[in-house]
Amino acid sequence: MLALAASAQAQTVTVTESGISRDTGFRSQAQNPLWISLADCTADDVLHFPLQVANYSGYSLEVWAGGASADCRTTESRNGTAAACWQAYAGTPTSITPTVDIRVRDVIGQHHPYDSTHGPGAGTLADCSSTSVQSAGAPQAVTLYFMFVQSGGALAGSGYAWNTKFDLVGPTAPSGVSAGIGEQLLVLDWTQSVDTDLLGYNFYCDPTPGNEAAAAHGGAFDASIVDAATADAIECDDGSASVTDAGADDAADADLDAGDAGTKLPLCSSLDAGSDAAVYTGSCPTSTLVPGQLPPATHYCGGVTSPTATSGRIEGLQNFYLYSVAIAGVDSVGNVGPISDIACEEPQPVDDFFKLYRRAGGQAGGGFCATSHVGQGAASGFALVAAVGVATLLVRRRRRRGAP
Amino acid sequence: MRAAPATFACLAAVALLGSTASARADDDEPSGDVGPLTGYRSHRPSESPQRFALELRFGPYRPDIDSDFDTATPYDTVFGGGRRLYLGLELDWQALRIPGVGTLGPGLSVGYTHMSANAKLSSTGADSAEQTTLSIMPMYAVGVLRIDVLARETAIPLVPYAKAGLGYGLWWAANDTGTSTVDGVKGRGATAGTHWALGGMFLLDAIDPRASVQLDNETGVNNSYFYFEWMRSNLDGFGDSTHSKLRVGTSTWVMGLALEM
Repeated sequence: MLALAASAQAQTVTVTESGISRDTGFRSQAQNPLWISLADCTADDVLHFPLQVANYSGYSLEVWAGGASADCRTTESRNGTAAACWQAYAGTPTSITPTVDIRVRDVIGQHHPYDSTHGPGAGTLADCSSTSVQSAGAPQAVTLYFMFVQSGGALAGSGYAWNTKFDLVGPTAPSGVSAGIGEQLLVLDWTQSVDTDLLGYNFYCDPTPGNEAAAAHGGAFDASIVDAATADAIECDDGSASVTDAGADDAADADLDAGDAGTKLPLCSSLDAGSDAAVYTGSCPTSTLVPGQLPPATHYCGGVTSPTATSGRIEGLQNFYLYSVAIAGVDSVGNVGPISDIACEEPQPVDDFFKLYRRAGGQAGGGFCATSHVGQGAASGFALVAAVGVATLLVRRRRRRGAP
Repeated sequence: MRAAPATFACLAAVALLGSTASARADDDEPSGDVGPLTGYRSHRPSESPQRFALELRFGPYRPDIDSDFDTATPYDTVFGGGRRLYLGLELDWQALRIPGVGTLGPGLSVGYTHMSANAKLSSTGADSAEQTTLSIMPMYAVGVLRIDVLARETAIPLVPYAKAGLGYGLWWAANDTGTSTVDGVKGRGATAGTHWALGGMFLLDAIDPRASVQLDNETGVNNSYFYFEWMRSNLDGFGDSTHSKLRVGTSTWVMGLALEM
């Protein structure tokens, strides 16, 4: 931290940085816990700075904020006609260890002295989303200057400068989003977002896992249930191929309206069986997830924490429900960016190797310590190894006897 | 606990071979001191004691899983007919030198191979986006006879060898959500069986004898070889015909680098 130049007076102010805290927005060290994010600003978070001051009597303790190119130690930068700094706090210490509380909105708001509204408390919720504050995604530096100010506006003694950054805009959305079918899961693939402060990706689903029934019952899709054992294809009303419901018996002829309650409803979709993976080709039935808009937090359904990831899974889904999914980038302070294009797909049962092996009649498995009988060959195998060992032993003994 | 005999047999064989090796090690007699050397090695100064052989092994691997069934081909259906890379390490204790023949002793090996593919949609059989994998860790304990008389006493730098013993393969199958499970049965297990191999080693020292001497002096590596081997890892539960063992063994060639030290 930058120590300000001391004047002839002995007024000093020091920030005990290890003790800085905040009301909300506790983040891990990887997420820059003392930077300011959009969520911090929206929540009207307050930063608490424990100070150590000396010879403060008769002086005003002020905190001024400025960008990377501003030097708030000069009177011109604070009170000039084109002041580059703005005031975030003003008060009078009552002890040598005061705590200064600074609203992040007062830091983000950048209400300069020449504005109609300025000073501590001038920051508003609107400042959090102001495009004039930040239009780019990269974090921006800001320095808080803690200092004593004389009645004429000149500095008194030495102050303390504390650097932080703010970032109110999430990363751009990844492109090329696609969803692949798994059993009770979907596999998402995408092209990496280009933002430099990317920390990972969040996934958003409609419906969210656990809320499928409500979504299906309210949907506008025809539905058919097919016995998986017979796997007879049933055409949907639109002529597209149907999907099967492994849990429904003797219902091959049942055409159920989406509004029927109490029944798990598969959704008719277009499946292109000729491709490597069956792909839903209809439009995604969601009005909640809108490409380019910030995602609804309630529809979060997973994510990855690697900025270089280009694939991820959404698990805990139900087979034969159509899920609309989208991806949003997350930056280094937890800002979530706008969501990507929507992809949608229906999880379905899949056969992995072990399932096919068991279906073929194989009985192996159960664990490394699972037991089963061994064939007669065990004895011969043991005898073979034992014979080699015995032969080795005999030859060695014969050599020893023959040695002088 | 009916699998116990196989396990005990394996352990007993290793212990027996190990005991002979220990007895030989007690001799504290350099292996290279046996008999006069002829051929190119006759010009070689005395070498450091030789007691071990280390093999770095790699080759193609395709387990015999489908041989357990008459018509079904679960392995081929998922992973196809291609072979996967097998990597292994073998350490032999050259416990005994048989004059005019070569070395005999026990050997242990651990290897690994892995295969992955897209799981199949149950409805259509097409590829899903979910991965299915099978990992196999083939191991064996064998007796190893290396006939190095040609390389030691003539100018022919070839060492034929044979291995025979017991094999044991750990395996585990997984999908995107973890270990595969069907009707509560986890997709992992172990299969024992017999193991044998025949191969030949080309003594690289013959290419540059001076460098080989220097290598021995500096690192204790007596000889280095390139080898080629045919191995039969018959991991089928010793002929189990009840489909209770995943046949993870294979017949394949293996090649690599061997060091005697």
